[in-house]
Amino acid sequence: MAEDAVAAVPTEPTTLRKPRIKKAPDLPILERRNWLIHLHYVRKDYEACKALIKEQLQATEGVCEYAVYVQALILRLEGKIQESLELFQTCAILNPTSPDNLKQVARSLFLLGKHRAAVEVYNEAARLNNKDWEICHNLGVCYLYLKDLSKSKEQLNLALQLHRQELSTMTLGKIHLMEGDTEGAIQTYLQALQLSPESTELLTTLGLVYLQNGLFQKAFEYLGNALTYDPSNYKGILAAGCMMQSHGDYDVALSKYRVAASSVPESSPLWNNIGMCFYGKKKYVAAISCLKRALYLSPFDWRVLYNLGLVHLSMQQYASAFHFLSAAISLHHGNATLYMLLAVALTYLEDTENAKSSYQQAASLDQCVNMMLLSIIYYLYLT
Amino acid sequence: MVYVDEIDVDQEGIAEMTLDENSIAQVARPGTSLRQATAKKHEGPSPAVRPVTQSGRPLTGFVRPGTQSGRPGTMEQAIRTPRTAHTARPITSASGRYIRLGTASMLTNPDGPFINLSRLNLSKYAHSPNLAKTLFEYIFHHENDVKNALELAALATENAQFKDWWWKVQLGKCYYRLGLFREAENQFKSALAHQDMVDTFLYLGKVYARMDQPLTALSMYKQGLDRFPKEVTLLCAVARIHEEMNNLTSATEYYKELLKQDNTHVEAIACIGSNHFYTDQPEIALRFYRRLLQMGVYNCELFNNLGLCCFYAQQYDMILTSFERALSLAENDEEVAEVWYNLGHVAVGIGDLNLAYQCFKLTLANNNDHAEAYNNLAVLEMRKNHVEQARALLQTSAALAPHMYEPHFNFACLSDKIGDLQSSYVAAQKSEAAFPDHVETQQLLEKLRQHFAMI
Amino acid sequence: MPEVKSMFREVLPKQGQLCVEDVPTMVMCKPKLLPLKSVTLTKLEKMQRDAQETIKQQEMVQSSQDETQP
Repeated sequence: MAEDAVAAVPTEPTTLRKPRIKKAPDLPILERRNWLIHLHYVRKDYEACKALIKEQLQATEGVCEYAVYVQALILRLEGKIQESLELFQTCAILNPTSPDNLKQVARSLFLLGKHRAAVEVYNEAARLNNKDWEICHNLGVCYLYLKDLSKSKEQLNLALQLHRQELSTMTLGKIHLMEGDTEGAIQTYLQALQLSPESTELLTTLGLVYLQNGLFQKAFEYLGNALTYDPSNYKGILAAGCMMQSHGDYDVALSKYRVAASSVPESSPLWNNIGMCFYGKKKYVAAISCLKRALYLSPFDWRVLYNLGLVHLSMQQYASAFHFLSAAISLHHGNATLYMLLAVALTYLEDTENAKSSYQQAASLDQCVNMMLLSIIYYLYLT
Repeated sequence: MVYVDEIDVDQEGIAEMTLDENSIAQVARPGTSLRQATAKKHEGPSPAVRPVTQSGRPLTGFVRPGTQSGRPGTMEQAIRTPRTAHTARPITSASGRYIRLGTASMLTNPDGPFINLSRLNLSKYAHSPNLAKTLFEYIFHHENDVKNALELAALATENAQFKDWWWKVQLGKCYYRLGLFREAENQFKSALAHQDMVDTFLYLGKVYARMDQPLTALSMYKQGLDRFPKEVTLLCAVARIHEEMNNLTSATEYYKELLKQDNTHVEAIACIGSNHFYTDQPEIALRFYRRLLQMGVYNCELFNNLGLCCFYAQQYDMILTSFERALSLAENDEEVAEVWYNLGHVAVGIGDLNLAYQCFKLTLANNNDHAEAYNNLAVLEMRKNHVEQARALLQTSAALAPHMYEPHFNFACLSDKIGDLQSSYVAAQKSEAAFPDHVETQQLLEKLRQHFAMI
Repeated sequence: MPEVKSMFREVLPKQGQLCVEDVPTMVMCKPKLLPLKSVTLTKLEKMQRDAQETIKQQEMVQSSQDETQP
């Protein structure tokens, strides 16, 4: 009788099972309480679930596969991945034909950062069941961590073929961005949007991609949508505010930032943007205090230092400007405007020689023609 | 001979903190205890802006004996409190400051004690009030012999038919030393009934503070202030209690009031100065510390603070000279370490990361247990992508200072980046415990939980 | 060149660098303002240091006396 019960264990433990009621009470059945365990788990009644599992395991001397499985799941939810892994391995030993158990073992390995081992186990699971999109997706993520982008894309595309869902598309989009393929990323995200048009995460990410590539119209559309669905979404506010600022809408941007500042009070990028709103409105003192706060919170951010230099130049405080701009340059070499601004500061500090070399540097760095011309003009003027 | 102000709050010993019989409840309601590590809502700068000490409270502008309080949860934590000669928390208060005074007095008289206490007939001396008072002071302060002092005081009070407020106060002091706080309270209260004296109010407040009833202490001080309006010592005591309870705005208010009465009060100036610094007003903080300099305070800490304020207030000419002066005035390695630590920040501020690295290394050379320096070195290493070094440094930092959220959060970030989500989760939880309102920690935890919930 | 300067001013960018997104980064521990010590505490520490010094010296004298004696 017991063997019947074991043989009758389905490979999908998450389906509801009917209890087998036996007339003779002295024949315990391994899977008798599985339905109750499942019920507690689904209701997130983890304490009751754990107690029941313990009981079951004692009664069955630890071979009730489903109980061990759920126990491992609960451990994982509590963040005890190592223990969870061991239990899943036990499950896999109890029932080596179930790809689910192997999947869980692999997932535990992934969560522990052991990506190579996870890949092996996932491959094994795939052999048992090659139509499972989750296996493909997770393989893709593992390859991503292992920095094998092509294999990763392959797996993710497979996953999407088997079953279109948001998760794989987001990851695929991320990979496209990492490779610099903006078009591909946009396509991927647009496809995902068709499936879940209200996902704030997707809308914000897409908006950001458009914004970073200068397509302001589209960016505004998507970010606006994102904010409509969730007005306090920090990422969306930051991006949207940024866009409004770049079009001169300082007051609207400030009002949006105020909403964000109440939920995220110590965010350096937020204070940086707020400071630059004040700069746009010519309130230099307020700008400086906001920017200094941003700098205090994030001392390595060259952009805050750039802005501080800029504001001080506008206030004709050239020594301070020099200090901030040179710090910015030490942290970040590639920006031509930085060198230009530094040159301005140096000019007013009467250090013509260094100002000239700074303009030279600016001219050599920048591909943007206007900037280059300006730098050359100033350089010649100084000579 | 040194005449130490008895009214100054004294250090609570470790054993007394863990084996405290005076607490009424196991867990105090928020805002009513001096020992509870900060209530949830931080008034004033959060730990993301203002460094936090071991007790979980923000760094104050002024250290007095007793500011390092904060009930350790277990004996293990209590033992772990730093016990160098400089930041020593004694095992019990009996072995603390009082022994030091006693030892000092013994050393100054190598031929033996001036008066042999065991041979004194105390009841005889109790009868002559003036002699008795002087004798009491000698026994209590110089010889540090509380039992005999108590006996003398008891006899003398009896002799004065319980009408002399002075003896009641002395009795109260003896009871306080012996740890009998309720009796001390009674004595002080009855002394107040005879004669209002500022000292009595202060002693009474001290008793309440020691019994961890700050609100009662505050009401006592208020009473005192009604009777002696604008009295400097009372205002100071009120401000101290507010600061210990982490009500920084109230504390600043009282310190300002204090300064109106006595504008050379070092403690008030230092506390207000540090509050201004950590609320984005380094220029004002600079003014306050400059005042201290004008008053003649001349030590390592002040010059360190001046250097920091000058840097953040953009007075570039004064920064390095202040720090140099601070280094030359440092009295021990820990102070040198702190100055190098702050110099590391200045180096980061000018963008010279190599210099910053060296400064933090120098901090460690002078003080091997400087948790903040380990953390910052880890951040610098991560910028160079040295993951393993960063990790080791963060683990050291977290082990040295579990109350700081930064190393835990950084470790969580690092682990998340390399994909070790379990370590990340554990570290993020520790970060949350240290600083529950930290938004980035919450975001990280959310993300991790989603990972774990996915099948 | 001050007269010429007024004719030829540099152009400063109007925008500045904006932060489009907030990537979680590691945090540094903040600079520490050192708490000043009260006069009592300074005196106490000094007394303790002096007492320790004296004891040490007495011990040294004692041990050297012990050594010289057979």
